[in-house]
Amino acid sequence: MTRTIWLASYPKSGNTWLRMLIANLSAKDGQPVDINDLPERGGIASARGPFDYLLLIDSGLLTYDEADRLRPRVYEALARGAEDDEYDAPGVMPPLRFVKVHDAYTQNA
Amino acid sequence: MLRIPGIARFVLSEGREIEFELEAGSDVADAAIFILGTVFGILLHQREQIVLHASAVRVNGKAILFCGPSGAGKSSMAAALVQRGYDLLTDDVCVISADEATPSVHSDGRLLKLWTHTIEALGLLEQRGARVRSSLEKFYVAPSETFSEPLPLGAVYYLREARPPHARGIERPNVVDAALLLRRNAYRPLIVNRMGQKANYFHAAATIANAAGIFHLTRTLNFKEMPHVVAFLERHWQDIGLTEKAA
Repeated sequence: MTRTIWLASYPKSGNTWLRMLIANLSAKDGQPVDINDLPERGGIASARGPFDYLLLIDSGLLTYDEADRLRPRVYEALARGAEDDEYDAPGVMPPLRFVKVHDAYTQNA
Repeated sequence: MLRIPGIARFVLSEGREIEFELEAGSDVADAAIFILGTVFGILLHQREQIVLHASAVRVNGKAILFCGPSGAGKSSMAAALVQRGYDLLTDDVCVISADEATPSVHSDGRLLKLWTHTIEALGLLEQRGARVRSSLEKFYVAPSETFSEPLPLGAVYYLREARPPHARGIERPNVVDAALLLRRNAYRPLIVNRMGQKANYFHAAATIANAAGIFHLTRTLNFKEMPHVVAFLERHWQDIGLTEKAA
């Protein structure tokens, strides 16, 4: 199981900077990490990848409201430690993943 | 059972039967698009087939596949090649038989599903049909021709955007990466994992890499660049012996 650490923040508040810091801290060989090739996904929780992967539904066929209503299911699955579209095998899944999230707390139904 | 909230609930049995019940407020047209996608994807995996999230065109009697994540440009790539005169095999789901030495691709005769901006950019307005769903700017588009016979597989390309560290071009990943690539581009990878069909995909990848070739195609996501990408692909097809070199 992969623990999910949520980076809940406003846009432009230093998410990428923090992810670079984390990537460098966790680099196994001690070498600086290429700024253009972070080993860890630059993913945002609301991206289409994890949504389509976990719900099996093509998000491109949903209206904004429908996607909004389903999105919490994706986050629930990630919070439970589900495999995701980057790490889809138990053998390669890291113990921790950092997921950036900018979503506001809103009523979706 | 699969439920798409607000649309329908589906029950699939033994790769043969789909039953569904609409949820309040949805209509059959709404359910149809999901049956053609996710539901068929699961059904085909019940039959232990290799199902890729890929578009495909016919080149010199062989099927050329383009896969990649949502938004990678699979439909647009296929549509550009259709404009260039190649025939469309499939738009987003591609069924492959890889249990023989020569893997083959099965056409499903369905329509393309494209966003309005893609249709306009490729001048396909005349072939535009009904909306995929009443609420979406996505339309069914008629391909120039459909097929009923399976075709031998010519090549599989994984579409990637050109940005560091990936420069434009075509490269051939090693067989282990190619196998991972194939499984990650299954329709849907989670189905493959949950239905215990990873081994099927590994064997298929080895067969396809051997008989046809699995490649990364890295290019910029810009319609203006599309003719260059098409020309580049045509040179690659000559290089790998798929088409004759120009005299």
